Amino acid sequence: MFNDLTLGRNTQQQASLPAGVLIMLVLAIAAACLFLIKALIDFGPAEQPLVALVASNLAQSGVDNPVTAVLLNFRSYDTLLEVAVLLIVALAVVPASTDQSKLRFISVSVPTERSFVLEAFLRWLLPAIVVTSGYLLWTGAALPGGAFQAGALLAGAGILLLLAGHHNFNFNAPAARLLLVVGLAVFLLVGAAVILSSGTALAYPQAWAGMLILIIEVAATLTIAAILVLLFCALQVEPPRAKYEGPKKEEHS
Amino acid sequence: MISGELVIDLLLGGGAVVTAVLCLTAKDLFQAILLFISMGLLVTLAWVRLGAWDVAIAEAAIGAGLTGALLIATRRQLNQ
Repeated sequence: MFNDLTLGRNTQQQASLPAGVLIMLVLAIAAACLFLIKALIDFGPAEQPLVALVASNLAQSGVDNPVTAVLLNFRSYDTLLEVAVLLIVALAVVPASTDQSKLRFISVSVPTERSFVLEAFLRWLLPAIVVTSGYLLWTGAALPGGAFQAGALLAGAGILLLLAGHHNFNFNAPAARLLLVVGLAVFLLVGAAVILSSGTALAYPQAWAGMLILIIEVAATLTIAAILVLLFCALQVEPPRAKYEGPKKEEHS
Repeated sequence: MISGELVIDLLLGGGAVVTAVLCLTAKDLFQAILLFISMGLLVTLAWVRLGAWDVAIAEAAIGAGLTGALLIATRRQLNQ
């Protein structure tokens, strides 16, 4: 339905413009693009004062990877707000009914259709993904990697687990809610606790910076993975439940 | 005069733009989603060529992988 809607609008717009104008537009845009590409290629290496600034302060950030240093030390306020935005997204899509809050986070069920290839594949793949995610998290201190990448990988493992059909996640369970907020909570707690030693929020003491960043990243990884899996869960409603909740959902939207 | 690296860069950039245009003009929703995922992978390679490894990993995991899964799940919801 949505597809037809947008396509219909596109064809209307194309029909309203004469062919000559379209050709002129294409030529003008192509010329502008070519000029920009040529300018980019000719453009020499630019002056980048920020690179030198980060490099000169890297020693006191507690990590060796400049990207992680910027994200979690020099500009950690931005990352804190990013995690908060993710939590708001999670609050928007978390199931509203609380009648499942007594159930466990992960429940095992018998799938309607079994995919043996996927199951056998997942036996090998899931442990590898979890280990890779932990590696990305740990190596984020020195090499490319970090909480977002590790969390996304972990969420991919969760989605594959959901697709196999043997497990269901119930995001109203207390454990799930803890997972959803632990990233922001730990970030805020650490940010507030360092006021005691340095006097400024989120300004880590130099000796502890590496350890504090690792603690924040571990918590943020869990939260990011949980929120991304929650997004997938919110879209994937099982057929019987979809029929049962169908009329209620339409009223809300 | 034109080095091999420049050819690869132009192919990656051009390929990303072409897949983006194909994705926007695709008649079928599923086709559009697959083209979106392939565009994400091409953009990942472009980030690698630019030396932005952090962005490349994030783009591969979130841009190509998770967004694709979310889009396919949304399409299944729309079809119901």
